[in-house]
Amino acid sequence: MTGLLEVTGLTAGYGGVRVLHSMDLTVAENEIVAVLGANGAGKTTLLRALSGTVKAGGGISFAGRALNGTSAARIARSGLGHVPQGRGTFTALTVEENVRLGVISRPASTRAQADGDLDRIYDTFPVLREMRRRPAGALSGGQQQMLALARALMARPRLLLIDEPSLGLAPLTSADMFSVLARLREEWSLSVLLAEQNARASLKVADRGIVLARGRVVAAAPAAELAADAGLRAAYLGESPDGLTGVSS
Amino acid sequence: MTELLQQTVSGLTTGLVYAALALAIALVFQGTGTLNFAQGEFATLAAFVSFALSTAGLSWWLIVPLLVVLAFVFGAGVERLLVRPVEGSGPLALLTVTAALLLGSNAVVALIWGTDVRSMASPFGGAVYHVGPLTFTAQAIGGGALVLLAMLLCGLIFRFTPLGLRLRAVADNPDSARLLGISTGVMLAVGWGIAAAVGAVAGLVAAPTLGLSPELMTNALLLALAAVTLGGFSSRLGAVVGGLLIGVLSNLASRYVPGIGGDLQLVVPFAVIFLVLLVRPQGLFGRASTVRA
Amino acid sequence: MATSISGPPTRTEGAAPTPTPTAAPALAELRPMWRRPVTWAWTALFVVALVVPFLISDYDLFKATRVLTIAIAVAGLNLLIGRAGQISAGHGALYGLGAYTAMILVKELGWAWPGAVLAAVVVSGAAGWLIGLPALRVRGLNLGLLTIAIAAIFPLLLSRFEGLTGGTIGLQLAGSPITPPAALALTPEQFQFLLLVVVLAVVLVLLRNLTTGPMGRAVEALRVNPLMARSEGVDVNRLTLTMFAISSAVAGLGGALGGLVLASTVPDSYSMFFSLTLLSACVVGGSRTWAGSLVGSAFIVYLPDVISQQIGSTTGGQWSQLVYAVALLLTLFFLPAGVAGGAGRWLARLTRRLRRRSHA
Repeated sequence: MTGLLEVTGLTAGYGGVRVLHSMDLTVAENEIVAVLGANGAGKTTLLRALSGTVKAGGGISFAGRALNGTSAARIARSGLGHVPQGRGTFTALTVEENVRLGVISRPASTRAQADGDLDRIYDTFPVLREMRRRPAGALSGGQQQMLALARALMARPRLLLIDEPSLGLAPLTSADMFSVLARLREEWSLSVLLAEQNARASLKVADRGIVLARGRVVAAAPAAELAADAGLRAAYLGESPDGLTGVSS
Repeated sequence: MTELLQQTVSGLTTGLVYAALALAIALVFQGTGTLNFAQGEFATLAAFVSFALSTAGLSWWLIVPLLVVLAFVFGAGVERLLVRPVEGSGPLALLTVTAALLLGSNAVVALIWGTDVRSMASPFGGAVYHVGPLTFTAQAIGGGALVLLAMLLCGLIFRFTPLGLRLRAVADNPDSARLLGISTGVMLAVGWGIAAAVGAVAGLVAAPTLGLSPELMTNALLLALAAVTLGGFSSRLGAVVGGLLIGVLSNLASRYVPGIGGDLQLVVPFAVIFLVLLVRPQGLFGRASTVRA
Repeated sequence: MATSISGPPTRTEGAAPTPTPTAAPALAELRPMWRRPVTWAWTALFVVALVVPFLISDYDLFKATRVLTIAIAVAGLNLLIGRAGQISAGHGALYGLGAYTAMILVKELGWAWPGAVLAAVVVSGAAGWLIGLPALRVRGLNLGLLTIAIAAIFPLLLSRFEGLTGGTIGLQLAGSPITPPAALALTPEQFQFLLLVVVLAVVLVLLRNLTTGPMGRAVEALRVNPLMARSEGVDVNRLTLTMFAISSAVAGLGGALGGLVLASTVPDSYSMFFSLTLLSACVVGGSRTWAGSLVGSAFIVYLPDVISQQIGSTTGGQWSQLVYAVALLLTLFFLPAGVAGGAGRWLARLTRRLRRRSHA
């Protein structure tokens, strides 16, 4: 089986410091893969390497095309969306302007459906419709995360990289966020690579999970298996074996 | 009273020139994050080019749009060729590049056209109109309208077009813009191009009043910098309002404050820069968070 | 703990003229002063400079003296740009302030020149301190903004306060007050040159010590990352202000000596373009090498002469200005460490290679 995203021997770093060491990874069509790992394990760098915002070596193939050396802007236009850590909303622009900027990377064939998609997005996130004339900077953390997701969806991506969506959100809000992800996957036929520290919540929506430590994949397994492996979580995710630090639902 | 009103009105008309130059400086700052010290010199160059074109017999109806296009290409080209190489080298290197551009473009203008002050006929003719007790020259009205039009057009582009949305997105958060498929490099060049075009109109309008010389916009640069400081570097509207305020302020000061006449008007923008930085560094319209450290 | 991995590392190169130190100079620092080649090079240069006045004409000496006065100002600019990571587009005005202060004190109040020079240093330093104040509120480009404004209005103020400054004509003395003591059998030019050599040497040693001692570490932190410097207990505001004041005082010293040697000051000499020329000298020479101040000032003093000889004097000034601009751009693009910095690195690489070969 060939996946939508095929990564082999990926290396990446900043300046002289290498952060990712020869990493292999596959994401299949319509699959949600959780990337787990402690702070500094390399989750964000992995996502940045894939979206071209960090220089990377090794092989990245997306939908059958090699992405190495392609500019971030071009990668975005090839159907790979990236919701960065901290959301990256344009705070001075209105909510609707933010969402509309997503259209830029849309495949030309789907341009005509942009307005329909905007309605669908507003139906999924009604709060964004209410606030559409407000500056994005006025939104709460959870609303900004929705906005970032909505903006990425407007590009009609085939694969969405999402970096720590639960960061800084209240437990209830972040639980909402994860259930929305499962829904979006169905409605938009998305694949998702989800980097998260919150292993419990993300493994609930993911099909598979990989665990990173010091820039290497140390475990890869179906989500249910990973979720059940308390020893692994204790070793790499900084959870106590009884799982008390995970967000309980 | 009439005197005061007349001074205010003529302050507003000169203020429009500073406003346009200030807008240009703010546009570059918002995209590239540096002050373009050479913005005034670019405008001077544009004024000389339009002078050369009109001497060659071209009609002003042709010169103005041609000048805008040329200035746009020039500004975008300068960004692409001379600014881009130091983009990642920090604010100090960027600012130094603009200082080099100031020195260089001033020298080029002086070498081509000489250092003497030439008088340039107003594209709007020499008519004088009286409205009630106030006097307006055709140059002031026409020039003011032209600058206003340029700024309005620029504002409309930024506010209502997809290009403007992209430009604002890059200014707001370049990393996110890249992730959405926007070529930030192209947008920065476009920003410099638009800035140069707006500045070119300012130069064209300033030349008949101030006299055409390589020093045409040297003082205006300082006034425009004060205008941007006053309005806030993060606000396009602020830069324009700042320019008008500076125009009126320095005009009134040179008329009513003893000792501040002629060239010494420049004390006003200097004092404005000093005080604003001391009291309200983000300016009147700026947001504190967007002031770049 | 390792949060930095998830974000790009802190930029260590805040400015163009800030090369990452190579291993060789770092090792060299471990050797005692007298064993370093740099120490020998400077000592040799100093000795040569003491002999030069007896070999070349008084006219050439006069030019060389001008190089030295400018070099003092550029060294001050090096401290600010290369070390503290702040910019000044107005050091020409501070140089001019030093010149005018010294000239006024000598001409109008009859001070002896050493006192006038000291007073000029104090006045310029105080002016720098005052200019730096508003720049503290928000860092970044504001010092650039303020200093270019100063550079623009300084000549206008000089013309305006005629009573004090002589207006557009400026101030002239019958001859330079800096004359050799009768006991020394020297021409005024020889004496002035030697004096400037000693003053520049003292300035460079003081600035070097300032940037290598404990204060140097704080200054380095200030340049690399002000936020981190603050978290390490550096009073960032005060340090910025101190650096700007010292830099201004040094520029004033150069100006005072320059003005008194020339025995003339006019507003046109201290225009905004002079300020930007000094900036050009600093960056082209290499803002992080002290030798760069000499290279840069020689460049800006001799270039107009060379050009005028080639193409006649009417447009010589403009051609020089164009060359400054081009040199500045080329340096920023291809030689961010400046001419002296680039040469220094090249020499270090060469000696390392030679040493390796001799070991093999």
